[in-house]
Amino acid sequence: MTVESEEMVPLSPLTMSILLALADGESHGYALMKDVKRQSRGVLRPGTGSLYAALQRLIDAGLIDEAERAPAPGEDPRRKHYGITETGRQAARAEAARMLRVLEIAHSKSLAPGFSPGPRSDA
Amino acid sequence: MNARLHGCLRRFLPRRLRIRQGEAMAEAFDVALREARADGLRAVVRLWCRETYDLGRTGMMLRMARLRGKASASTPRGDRGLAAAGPALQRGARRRVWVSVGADVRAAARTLRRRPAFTVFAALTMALGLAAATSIFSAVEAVLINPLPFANGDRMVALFESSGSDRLLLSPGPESIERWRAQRDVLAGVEPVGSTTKRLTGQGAAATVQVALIRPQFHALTDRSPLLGRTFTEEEIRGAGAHVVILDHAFWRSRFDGSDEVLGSALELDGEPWTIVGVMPPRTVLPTFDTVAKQLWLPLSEERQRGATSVVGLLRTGVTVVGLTTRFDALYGQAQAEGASDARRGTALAIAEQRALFLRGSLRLLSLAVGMLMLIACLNVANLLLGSTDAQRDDMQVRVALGATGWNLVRQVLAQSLLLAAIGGLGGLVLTRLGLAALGALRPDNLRLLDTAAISAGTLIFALTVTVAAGFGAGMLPAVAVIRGQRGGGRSPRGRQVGPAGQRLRWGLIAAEVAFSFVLLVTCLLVAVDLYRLQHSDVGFEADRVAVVGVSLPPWKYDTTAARRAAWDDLEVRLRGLPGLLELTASSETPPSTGVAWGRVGIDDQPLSDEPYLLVGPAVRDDYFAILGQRIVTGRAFTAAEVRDGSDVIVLGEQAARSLLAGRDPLGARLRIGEDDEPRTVVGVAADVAMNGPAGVPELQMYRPLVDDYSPNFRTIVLRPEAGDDPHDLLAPARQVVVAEDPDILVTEVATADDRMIATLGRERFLAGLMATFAVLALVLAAVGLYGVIAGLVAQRTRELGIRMALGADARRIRRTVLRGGAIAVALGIVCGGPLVWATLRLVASTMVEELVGSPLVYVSAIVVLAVTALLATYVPTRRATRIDPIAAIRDA
Repeated sequence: MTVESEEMVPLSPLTMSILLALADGESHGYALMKDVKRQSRGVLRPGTGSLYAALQRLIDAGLIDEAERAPAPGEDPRRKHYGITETGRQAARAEAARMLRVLEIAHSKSLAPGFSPGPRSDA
Repeated sequence: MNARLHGCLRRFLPRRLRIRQGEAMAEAFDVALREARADGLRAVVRLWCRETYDLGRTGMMLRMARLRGKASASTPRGDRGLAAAGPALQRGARRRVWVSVGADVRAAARTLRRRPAFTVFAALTMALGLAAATSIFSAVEAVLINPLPFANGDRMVALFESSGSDRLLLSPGPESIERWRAQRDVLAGVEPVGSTTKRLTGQGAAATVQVALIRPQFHALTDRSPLLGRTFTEEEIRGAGAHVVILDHAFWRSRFDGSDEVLGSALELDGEPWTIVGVMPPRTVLPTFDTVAKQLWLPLSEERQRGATSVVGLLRTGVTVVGLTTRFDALYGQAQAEGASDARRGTALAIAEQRALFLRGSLRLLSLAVGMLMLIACLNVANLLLGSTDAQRDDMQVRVALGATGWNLVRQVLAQSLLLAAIGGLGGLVLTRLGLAALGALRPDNLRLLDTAAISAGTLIFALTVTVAAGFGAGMLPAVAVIRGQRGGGRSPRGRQVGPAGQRLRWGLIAAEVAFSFVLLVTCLLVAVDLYRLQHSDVGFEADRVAVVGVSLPPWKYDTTAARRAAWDDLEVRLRGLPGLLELTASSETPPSTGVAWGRVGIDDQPLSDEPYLLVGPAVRDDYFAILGQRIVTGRAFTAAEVRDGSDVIVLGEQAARSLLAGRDPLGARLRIGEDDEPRTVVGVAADVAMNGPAGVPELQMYRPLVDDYSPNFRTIVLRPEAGDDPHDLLAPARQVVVAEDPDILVTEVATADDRMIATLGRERFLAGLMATFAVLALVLAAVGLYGVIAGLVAQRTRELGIRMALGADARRIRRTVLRGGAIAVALGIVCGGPLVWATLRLVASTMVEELVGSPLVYVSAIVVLAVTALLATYVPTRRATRIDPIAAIRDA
């Protein structure tokens, strides 16, 4: 099932975090848990339950997919690797753009002190 | 263990997610757990708590989403809009989440405080279930998960050698030990240890002490140093060994009140002084198959090392028992290729596994039983909460009108059940302490391993996890009912009436409780009937008619045959003077403990058999069979002359005669065991006795005449009282006679033969005692649940019942109206319990006696017990229903 990226935003912070973590390349569950925690500076600490529920949801929505590859030597055969799809990238891009718009509005009302709008203001 | 627990927790999640991602989740959690372990126990506890909460919450959310029909894949729910707009804002949001959780908990606490009876009841139910589960878990942890209380216990193996074709495992010789020590890449250590008994003398009557023998290197192998003082030095194990002793922790506490001043003082063992040099840390055991608790640790001298010892090997990390066996086989092949004809093959067995073997089946059954008990407790609390949410329906509708969402109400219910579980959990821990004390008291002598059960870190993690799971579990159904109620809207204008669906749900819960109680009752009855059968089985002699006194002469005092004969004769003369004694005889041992002979057997002039046989049985006097009431089937017992001269004659057991002398007349046959044995003539065949106790495996039996040098310092004296007298009456006087003869003579045992037989049933009695406790608890909980539902029903339907009575319904009809649902629920529970019983019995088949499992009497009794319990539980509320005053009911409602 593929959905138009614009319809998906806003994404939940966990979803966005996962997509951002996968933007650099394939990754597996435990690495994602750590990545999400690091990105959110400890605010999001998904357990396996919420992480894998989110992953399954993203797979169902076609934003990410399970990488098919043989386990590396010495690697646990149960481990699964996930990669971002083109739809997933679009969704992340759309979410980032949405956040940017929010920030710009906030900036214009002096609610985003540390933010300075860049040259490209619209996606 | 961890994997299994995590697997259980994943059950919170919908099936589809479990199937697709379960394995990967397990893997990710494994890695997380490994990292947390490196950070210490607190990190592990924190991880488990967070994981339990996360899985429970996610499962709840996903199921709720599905119930609402909003399980839309593309719109992940959650704190939408809480975008990454700066950490400060997020921290604020996080705090708000906690504030609202706090509010939920406070609201739940208020509700519970308003209903103290309900709260106490529900929390007590939880506490009972949790205490049972936690107590059994700590036993499981002590026996199955951690049977060797050492950090590297799972890498310890017992090493044996066997000569070529024989399957017999022998204690390894010094050459083998040397060869194995050289295998440094697979074995991190090879350490001989030993055990023996000594007699503690010089302080009144002598007493036996269990002794472990070790070398100084033992401490490095187990990574345990003495708590006080020092270990042995290399000098102290030279030659015959120095007279120095390390006290076991428990012995030091009980005998010396845990005083540090014992160091340097002396202890008299076998009439000689030994110097105390140290105290072992608590829970130090000898890593062998022998689970008997030791009181003293003595040096394993070089002299002793040449004799039979047990050898403990420590596997290197990553090396398995199979890996080591492969290496041993290679070594053996190499030795054979080099032409060593006396090469011995090494064998390794995991010690922890062997120690747990005896209890594994029983503990599996007990774990299953407490699991069911816990479920019954949860169902009960769920039922109570359902009743409570029904009562709170008005309140909830007001909250909905003020804008509360379904999720808010669910959280309120869940907060209540989690709070109840938490209170129950705390109470449960207190009860667990009592439970463990009870386990210790119930523990039979041959299950000393259970003494190591304690509230450990693992137990706490388990208790916490079960508490949270029970909280969610018990809250889940009422929460779903609340959502359903929301969807349906306020069904009744007064908000008092429970819809038929809600009532059906409550009856369903009762049916489930009855089903689990039925399983527990049936298994409990099977175990109990089996125990009764064993206790009353025919052991082959008149065990209830004789008393047995085990006597051990101090060898340093009676060191010549003449001295020993004089002592035995003197003792017998004195014992014959006991009032009420009819006859006495002496033997080397009596069942259920016996001497053994092992070897290949030759009959007459035929060559020795290919397979070795094990023959068990004591050396006895001519009057032994008559006094014990053991039947001679053919031939005769020994004559007095044969015993006096130590003739080469034997009496065989029936089965031995059948298997060894198949088809021929046993009398006159000549038997030899092993190459060098003198042939012995069979003079009679005696009825088989239960040599290993009533539950023991039947063995081939053989009796020899008791000669002076057979076991010079040890004998059992069998006393038979006058007909009609109780043999128990002879016990205390007999002990006094022996101690008066010489306080250094050790009375190893004074008991009736019957009590000795029953003592071998320790495991069966332990199992039956615990199963009975659990079955009674299950019955009480189910009865309480049934009572609660019927009482609630009567309270809700007071007006309806009043109208019915006003319209002329008599007490019988009212009773039928009230009891119908309950009767159906109980019947349904029993019917559904059937397959559950079947499944349970399949799981624990090894612990059950087959012919009992098929006996209909057990099932009928269980049904009768359940029915009577159900009637008792419904009696009071039903009576209340029949005594409703119709006018008052109609007016008040």
